[in-house]
Amino acid sequence: MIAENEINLQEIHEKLNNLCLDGEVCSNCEKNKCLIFFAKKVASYVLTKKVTTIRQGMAMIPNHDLKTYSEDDMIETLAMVLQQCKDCRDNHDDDCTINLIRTCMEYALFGDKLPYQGSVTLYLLEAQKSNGRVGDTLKAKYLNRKKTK
Amino acid sequence: MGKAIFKQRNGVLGVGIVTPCGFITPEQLCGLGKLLPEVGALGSKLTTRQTMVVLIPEEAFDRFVAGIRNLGLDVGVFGDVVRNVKGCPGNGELCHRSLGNVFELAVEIQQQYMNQPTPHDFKISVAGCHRGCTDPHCADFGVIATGPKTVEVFLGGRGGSRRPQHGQKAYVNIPKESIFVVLDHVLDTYRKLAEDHERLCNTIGRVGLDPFIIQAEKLPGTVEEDEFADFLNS
Ligand code: SF4
Repeated sequence: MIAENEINLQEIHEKLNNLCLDGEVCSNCEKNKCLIFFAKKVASYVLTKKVTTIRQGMAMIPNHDLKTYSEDDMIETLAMVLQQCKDCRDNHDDDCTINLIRTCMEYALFGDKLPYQGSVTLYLLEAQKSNGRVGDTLKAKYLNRKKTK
Repeated sequence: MGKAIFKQRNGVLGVGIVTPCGFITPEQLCGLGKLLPEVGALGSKLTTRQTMVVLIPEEAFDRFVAGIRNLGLDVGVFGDVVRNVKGCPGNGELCHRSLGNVFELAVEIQQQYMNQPTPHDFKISVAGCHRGCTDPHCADFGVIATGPKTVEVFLGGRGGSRRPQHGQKAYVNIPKESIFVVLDHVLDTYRKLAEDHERLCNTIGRVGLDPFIIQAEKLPGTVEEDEFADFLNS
């Protein structure tokens, strides 16, 4: 559980905005059936409404979206999201807006959601277990971002 | 109903001072700094319930009470009543973690409900997030903010006891403004259903949680997830 003034979703919002081409490439924009569209909406909702959780948000994630996304972009966005994570451990809330965006990226990357125990370190281990190559790249990107920011 | 005045083993009085959920202004603190030596106070102790107990000789009691009232403070309450409210500093200006402005809410609850008679002592705690710095799970009526406009309510917690227990989650993500309707209902039901001097957790243990619940659609106010669904589809 985190507070609104602790989250900075501006960069993530821009990244998601660039990823979503608003129908330019997808011949038919599926809107809220698309993981990127949903994640982008969560980010812009946080920026406009200054909320940190969206009740029932988890239940609204379009997890049947099977489109193939650019792996590099997904990993990059996931690393950004992890950077905003506050390691809230026991106070972790599935409907936390950061968790919602992270879960969208997981479905896009791994085809499923990963368990999140309120700690980035534990999470990186889970990602590694789920897909060694993606997990290693994610860890490297995350650590690199942490070093430079 | 009683006042928070406790005779100590050594004969002095411990007098509990109540403030708006533990908030004391610099002027009040300076005033207490002058008043305590004037009345021969032996010392003071901050309590877990956000009050301050001052140890004074019995004969100085009237002077002491007049002095604290001059500072805008008062003697706290004790016994089978709604006690002073424990409120965390969760608001837009203080704690970074707060999800809603609960400090103001806690002060308002205290102003409206403190000292109302109840079958047993009735403790209220309000927290701005799930970290729960005011121990809302250990209160008879625990409130936790879940967003700027929403809270959840736990009923029947009991901290200091041989058999401590956490409250049960009774209201999930309800509009903040509905808290007064919920509290009125819980207090009314408790007064009707409790046996003599029965603590709320025991009443709930006997009759269940249901009589204490108002259905969500009958509560005033709206919650925000509907707004997100609209936003998503816009
Ligand atoms: S309960 Fe949450 S909002 Fe309140 S003081 Fe503790 S951390 Fe801050």
